[in-house]
Amino acid sequence: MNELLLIAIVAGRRCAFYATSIRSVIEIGKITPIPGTPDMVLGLAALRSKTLTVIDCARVVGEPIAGLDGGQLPADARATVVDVDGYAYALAVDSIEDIAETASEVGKVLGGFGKKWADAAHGMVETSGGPALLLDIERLVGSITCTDRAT
Amino acid sequence: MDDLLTDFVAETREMLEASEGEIIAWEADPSDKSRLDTIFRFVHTVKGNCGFFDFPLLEQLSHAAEDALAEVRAGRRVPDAALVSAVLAIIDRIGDMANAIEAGQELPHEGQDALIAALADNEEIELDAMSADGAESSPADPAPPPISTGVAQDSTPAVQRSIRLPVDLLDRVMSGVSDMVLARNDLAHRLRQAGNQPTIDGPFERLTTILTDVREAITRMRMQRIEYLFGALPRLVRDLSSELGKQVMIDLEGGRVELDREMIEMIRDPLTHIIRNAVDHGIESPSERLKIGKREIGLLSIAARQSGNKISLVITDDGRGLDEAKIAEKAIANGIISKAECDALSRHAVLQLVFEPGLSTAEKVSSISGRGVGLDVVRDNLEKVGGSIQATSTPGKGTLLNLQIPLTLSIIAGLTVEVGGQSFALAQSYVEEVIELANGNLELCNAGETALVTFRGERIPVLSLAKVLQIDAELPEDKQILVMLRLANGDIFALAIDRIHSHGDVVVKPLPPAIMATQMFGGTTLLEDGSPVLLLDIPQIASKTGLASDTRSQTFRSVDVTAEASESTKQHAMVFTDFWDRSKAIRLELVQRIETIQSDSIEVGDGATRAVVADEILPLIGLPEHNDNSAKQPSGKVRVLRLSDGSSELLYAISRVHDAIELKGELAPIDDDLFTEAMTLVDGRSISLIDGHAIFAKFGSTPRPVHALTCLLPDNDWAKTMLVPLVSSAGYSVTHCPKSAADIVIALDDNEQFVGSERGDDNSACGGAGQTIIQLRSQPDAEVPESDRSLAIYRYDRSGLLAALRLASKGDAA
Repeated sequence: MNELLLIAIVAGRRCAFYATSIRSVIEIGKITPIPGTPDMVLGLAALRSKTLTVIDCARVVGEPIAGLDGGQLPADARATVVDVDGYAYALAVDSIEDIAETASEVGKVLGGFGKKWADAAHGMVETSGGPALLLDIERLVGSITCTDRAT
Repeated sequence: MDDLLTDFVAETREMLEASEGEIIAWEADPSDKSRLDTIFRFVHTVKGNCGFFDFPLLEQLSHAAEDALAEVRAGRRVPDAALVSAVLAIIDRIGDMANAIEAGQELPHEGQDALIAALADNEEIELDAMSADGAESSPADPAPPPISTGVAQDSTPAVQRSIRLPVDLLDRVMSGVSDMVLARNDLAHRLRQAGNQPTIDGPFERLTTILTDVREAITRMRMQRIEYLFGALPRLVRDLSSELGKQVMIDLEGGRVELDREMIEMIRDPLTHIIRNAVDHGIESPSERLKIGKREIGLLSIAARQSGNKISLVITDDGRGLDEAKIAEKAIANGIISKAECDALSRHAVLQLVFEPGLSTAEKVSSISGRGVGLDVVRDNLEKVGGSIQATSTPGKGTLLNLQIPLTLSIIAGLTVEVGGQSFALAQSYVEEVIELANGNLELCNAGETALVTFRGERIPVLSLAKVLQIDAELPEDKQILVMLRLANGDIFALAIDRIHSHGDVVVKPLPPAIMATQMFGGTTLLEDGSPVLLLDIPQIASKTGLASDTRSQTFRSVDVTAEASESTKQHAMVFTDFWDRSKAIRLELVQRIETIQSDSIEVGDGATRAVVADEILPLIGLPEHNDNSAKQPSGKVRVLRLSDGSSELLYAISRVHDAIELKGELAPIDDDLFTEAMTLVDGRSISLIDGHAIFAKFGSTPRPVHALTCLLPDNDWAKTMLVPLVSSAGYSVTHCPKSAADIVIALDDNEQFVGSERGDDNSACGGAGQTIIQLRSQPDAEVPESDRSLAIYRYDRSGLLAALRLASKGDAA
């Protein structure tokens, strides 16, 4: 069965999210930083009257985000809004590309991505526009707890 | 009380509806345990609530049904059709009674005994009763059907209806309104850019006003002070303890904590259960207590605190504590855990077994509690709303139950502060005082790593918020602002910040767990402009930085009355300079807050000057006339002291604040200045102490909605049984303690102690309103000479007494 995917660029790579798990795509405005949290937590942003915790996807997988300038995201930075365990998060990505359909089963992550990428992904998936790494939203969000313990 | 009743009726009806399906299913299969449990809980809750109100008939019914069902639950009795029918008949009757209560009619009582008798485990009676007419409880009981239908018809128009809404819907409306406010702010911004447009501005203003109203209403819809829940507890404890022949004192704390109405409803039953348990099983009888060297009177204390996005409700009793061995034994006997499992558990884990279904450590079953339904229902109800409960106990010393209730949507009074260019909010309830270091009021000194400040004779640690958060402060240490914070256990520390922005109500929203793990933030809230700010979790920050000890240990503290008394005899005053450059002092108890107001918010009227502070208009004194050359004229901003006597407030304009001092020197009374109470020496300078009584008498603004007047009644049986219902139904709150501040005193002729008693004009004189004494006599009017009749009212002259009360309350309000 074909599923809809949202294709996004994270740290220059073609990644995908299950479209059904994305509530919306927003442009991130002002971010309130949260002291004491790991780098990957950019801070809080408001979506109307809701508060979103903004997570930098690129940092989760250990890459510097493209265009990050002095701690502030570029003005047109995009993020996908997701719900995990009842809390709303915004996952900041380099850019949003397209909606595509899966063209294959989810396969293993191939070499060359590294462990952090593999940890944050369901696996590789073939789409109509080429292969993409299917990111696991819960693991992306879950990763901030683990690193936090160390600090 | 009416509110509570309405709730009770609504709740009973709701549960009836919910359990109807269960009842029918149980009828089909009486051996079904889980159905039985649901029905059992229903009657148990009804019984519990009846203890709250005074419905002996209802209590008798539900108690009977509970007894029968408990037998079945315990496996001592096999449910049969007759029992099912009898229970159903009782449940129907409970529904009828709820209707009657709502309509304010007399409860149907015909056939009550027959209903109860039908429950008896006696086959002959059952056969008699049931074979005659299946569903009807008893042939000798023709009354219920006509009554129930009659009540149902009557009740509709008489009662003000309330509706219950799903919380989801409220949430949606609430977030919708929040979004609307943000959209309005955005629009306002754009309108300002576009310049004045009268045709648009008018309607826009109207929109703003409406939106503010709606927002307030929505907020109120959800929030309620926990006081509302606490209000019924003293009575409950009193009734329980007198019924059980025990003496229990209840101590309530934190009634101002606000939480979701929904949440209050959810914890009402659990709390009642816990209190019943504590009084029944926890606290020993007076003789037993004396024997083991405890005070005769047991202490039950309930303290509510808000910490971050949780409310913690700590219920402690100083009774016999939980018996670990007995709990373990029971748990094994009831098959909750195996012996091996039990041995592996820690003491703490064993104690938590009291929350398992079907476990009760009480030897005896009483009508108050027992049977082990209480605590498992308590935990179920709490977990349903995402809360938790923990028990800790010291054998022989007492039990502590710690309830954590989430505050997913709660409104607190918050203070917005800024450090290093970033804003943070903190709960205002912790804030004692705000002090600007730049004014040179206080001096910082360093002891090792810690900075200390001397504040009212105490050395207080200073915590730099910038350091805690590991960001850079904008101001040097000695130019920062100190916010004095008092923790729940009484410890004070100062938090250094760059500046203070505003205070106001903030809606706290929860943060994801990963961010809560920083142990610095309790939630997040949105500023007016829609940008999020973090709410500082003050207790966590304090304990993280080693400033606070375990707050929990405090709940066991016994109140040292003598220490408090000596503390209260110390008098403190605040010293300031007025606009004539004179040093003056005012008693510290009167000073609520130091505010800074814009001089354009001051309105000079004929004789009375008023100013606007935080949306309230208050009288302002202490300001010089415009043509007064001997005084400095205020410019731009004006410092004012916000004074309060408890019911009314006024503002006192000052030029500079100095310090708070203890009034040690002799107070020399002054006669020539009306508003000066006395002169005193402070550090060798003479300072005049302002007469708080005089300024409030002359300038105090009329109190806002008058509180219920308190009526002091004699402490004897006649007063308790005859006077209390009369007086409280007339809308007065009642006290028996001659020490408490009462507005009206009712004295009996055989009880002289209140008449012309030692109540002089002590500090209650600041209240302004004097007491009215109503004298009652035992002789009817006919036996008293006509000249003396007006001196006192005959004690059974109801209308005369009510008239006197009305007169007294009018006199008080004027």
